[in-house]
Amino acid sequence: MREHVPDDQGMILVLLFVVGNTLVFGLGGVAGPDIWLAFLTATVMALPMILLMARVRSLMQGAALYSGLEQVFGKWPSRGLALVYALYAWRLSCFVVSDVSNFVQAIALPNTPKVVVASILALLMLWAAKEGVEVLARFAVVMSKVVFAVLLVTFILLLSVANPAEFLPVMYDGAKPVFLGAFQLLDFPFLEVVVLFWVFDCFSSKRSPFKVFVPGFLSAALILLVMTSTSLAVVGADRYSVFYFPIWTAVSRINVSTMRLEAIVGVTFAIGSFLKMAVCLLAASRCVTYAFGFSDYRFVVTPLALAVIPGSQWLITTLMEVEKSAIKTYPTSATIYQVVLPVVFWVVAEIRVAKARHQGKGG
Amino acid sequence: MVGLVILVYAAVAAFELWLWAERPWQKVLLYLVLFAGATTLAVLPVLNPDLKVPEPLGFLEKLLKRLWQKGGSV
Amino acid sequence: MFFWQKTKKNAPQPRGLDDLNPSLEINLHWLKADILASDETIVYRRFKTSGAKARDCVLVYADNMVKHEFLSQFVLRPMMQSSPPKHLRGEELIRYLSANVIESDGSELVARYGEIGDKIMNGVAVLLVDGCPLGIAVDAKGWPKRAVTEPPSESVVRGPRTGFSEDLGVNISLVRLKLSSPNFKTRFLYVGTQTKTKVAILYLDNVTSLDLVEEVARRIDAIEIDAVLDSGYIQEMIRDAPYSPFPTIGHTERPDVAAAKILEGRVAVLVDGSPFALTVPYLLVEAFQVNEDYYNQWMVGSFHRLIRYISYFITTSTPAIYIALISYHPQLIPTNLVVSISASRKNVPFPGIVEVILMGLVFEILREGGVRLPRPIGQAISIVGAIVLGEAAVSASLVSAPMIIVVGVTGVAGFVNPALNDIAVLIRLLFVFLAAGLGLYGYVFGTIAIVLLLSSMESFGVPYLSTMTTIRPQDIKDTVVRVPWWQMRLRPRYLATKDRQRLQRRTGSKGP
Repeated sequence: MREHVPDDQGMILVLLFVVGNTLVFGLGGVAGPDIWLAFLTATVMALPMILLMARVRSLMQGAALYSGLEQVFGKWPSRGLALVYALYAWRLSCFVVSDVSNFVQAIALPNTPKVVVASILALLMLWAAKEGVEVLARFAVVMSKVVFAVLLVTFILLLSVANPAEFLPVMYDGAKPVFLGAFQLLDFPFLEVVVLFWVFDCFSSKRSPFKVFVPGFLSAALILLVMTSTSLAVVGADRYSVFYFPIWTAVSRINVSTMRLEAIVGVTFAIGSFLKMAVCLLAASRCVTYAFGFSDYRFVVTPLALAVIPGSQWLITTLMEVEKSAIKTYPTSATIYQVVLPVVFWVVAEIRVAKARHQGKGG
Repeated sequence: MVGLVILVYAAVAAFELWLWAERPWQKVLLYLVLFAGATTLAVLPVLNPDLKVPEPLGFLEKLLKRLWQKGGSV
Repeated sequence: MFFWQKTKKNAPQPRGLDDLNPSLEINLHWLKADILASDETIVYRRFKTSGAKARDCVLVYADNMVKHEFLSQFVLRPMMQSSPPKHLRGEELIRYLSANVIESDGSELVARYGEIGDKIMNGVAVLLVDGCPLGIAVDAKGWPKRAVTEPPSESVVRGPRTGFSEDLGVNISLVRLKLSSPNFKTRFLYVGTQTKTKVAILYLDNVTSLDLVEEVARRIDAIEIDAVLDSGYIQEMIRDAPYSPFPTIGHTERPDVAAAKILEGRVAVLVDGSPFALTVPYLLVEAFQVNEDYYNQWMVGSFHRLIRYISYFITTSTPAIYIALISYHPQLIPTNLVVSISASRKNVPFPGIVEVILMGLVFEILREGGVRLPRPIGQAISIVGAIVLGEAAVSASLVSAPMIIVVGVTGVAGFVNPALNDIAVLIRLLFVFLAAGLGLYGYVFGTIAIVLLLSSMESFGVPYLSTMTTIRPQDIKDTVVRVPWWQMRLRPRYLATKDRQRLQRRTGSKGP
């Protein structure tokens, strides 16, 4: 059965996936006051990779994912690639679950074991992944309306307490912090979009991958840029990188007649993260089943989701490690998954498609 | 505790297998292998809380660090 | 099991499929002994035609299912006065009588015993003549009918006052009056092995996709049930997502609503004997749409619709959010409010969740008690419930005063969306338990689960959330708000697959 996601829903799915679990973390804190520059740099650097992904999908000529892969990359290489990405997607899913369960424990439920929250999340995402990408895309659009509304309100309120002087002086420490911040942003969250490559089954037209990935990514980058910069202007550049959840802290500075709003931001964080972990689980299931030659992926969702519960508790245990893992341990493995493999894949695909076209003309 | 975890996982697996309309052996095999993996993953940290997280790509990281020496930003 | 097949067990020979005998006496014998046996409401009126060769005739009908004056005036009198030519025999005679004597617009020839049984049960009189192996079925249906009145379940301030009644023919004509176009089509099906209830499928063939019509017909045809007493039977037998509490088939008592839904590309199903028309596919937005939204000025309509969405949020979420806030996140409430709430909760012995469930239960009991009682008593119950019990509960420190407000607001807001009110109770309970366990995040997980459920549902191939899962401007013009009519140029994309144009271009330019 071909699962088909309309372009507009796909775009929102990409957007929420990127914004997803990023909303409360201090992204690009290394860049200090130049955070907005780091965002712009990272966006510019990530864009070619996003375009590359869309290009590969459009090379598949509207074929469904599995048959398209074998068309442009060959059968066994594709399966090997799928197995590698299964691990990546599953691990990302663990990270997101652990982020949320840590966050909830730190913010709201200090006495509840993290496993409880992680288990509930695992059950929900098990259900979501079994429903498939079409349902997830619809879910994303419905939820995005809530997320956008909350972000708009908090942004306007944050503006009232923001201090633009925090952005000065520009490039005081030179370009290095900007690039460091940009690299952080590339790994988490911008280039995690590679997971989505495995999630969409087929697109409406040859141009659809571009319409889905590019605007989705760009608007997500814009939202994150606006939200993080405003929060930095509220809490100050020095303290921004000290807090675990700077955006959360920034929002808690807003006082609407002694009422506080940060819980609402937490809510949107939970929604976005849920979407992200479900998408990752779906991608992992699809990759595993494809690697072993099955066309149906739903039957492995349960074991993978149940593996996420211990995985999320084990791989990262404390909040400090969340911070560390979000910033430090990503790069090496991330470079391979997010840059090296996609580029290799793209080059091979281009060559094979060009060859096939040439042969088609010759014959 | 360990027994309980195994029991829960096994129960879930059995229940889901029972729900399947048909059970081709390839599917059942992959399913059971993955489930065994999940159970092991759940049991290991219970048995030994200080167990280290394996880093299959650790050697690559070391390699890159050696290559980059000073330029290594990460 | 069909009507005549049931008698098969007792009688050695199957009579139902047999042709009529030329002999009147044999026919009568079989009717009385087999097909219509032990039914004392059946009338056998014997008479003779006039003229030199008088023929023996019998008019068979079920008492009180026919218009008696009609039969006397247009069947019995002309028959008795007629003198058919002598040479006519058998089938020729019957055809002559049907063509020249019987003064009824609806008459046809019947040849089998089984057919006669079915017809008589449906208020048709059957005329049998000696020497003829055929009978004439004269449509003389006439049973007590309710007048076309305003439906009590969907009353309006502004809008037509007609409502469906129990008669299928009347109901179809009520819809046809709204949609007098040759594109308006009806198709009949018969459901129920005992009742053979007539079911009509109504649609516009230049708007609705024929696949949808076929799918509806296929599902209705597949129903194997003995009786269909109301459209509710069919609603439950053909719905999608049978385990979801949300409705996937709409129902209405109003011809104008049914016509509007058909115009958008839906299919309406009318069932004989039921004043409720079913409409498919049914989307979640429809639960928040009311016909008056379209009759009132668009800003007013949009405002009312917005109120409906907000009310549904209030009725499902207030208790959960209240519990989450007071037990997990008091810092999110304004300080003075926290002080007053905790002051009022000081003497209450129960935790928040017990209070909510207790008061919610009391509210539901009062509601259920009030619904089925005659109106004056019902009002008395609500007064006792609301004022006396609530006031007493607070002063006895059984519940806190804010809780009374929460439960009251929750209950009243539920009545704004009658279509989803029953489900609201379930959602509320789920949310309350999750909020009691995990605070605001429990509530969020509950919301995620509900939205997932809704996203996964479909109604006749159309995603249940269709108009909510899009960001195209044209598709959201009739969702949370209703834009002016001159803006709604196209019919909904998900339903009307053929002709999407609702407004012609030149009329569309009337707007500012």
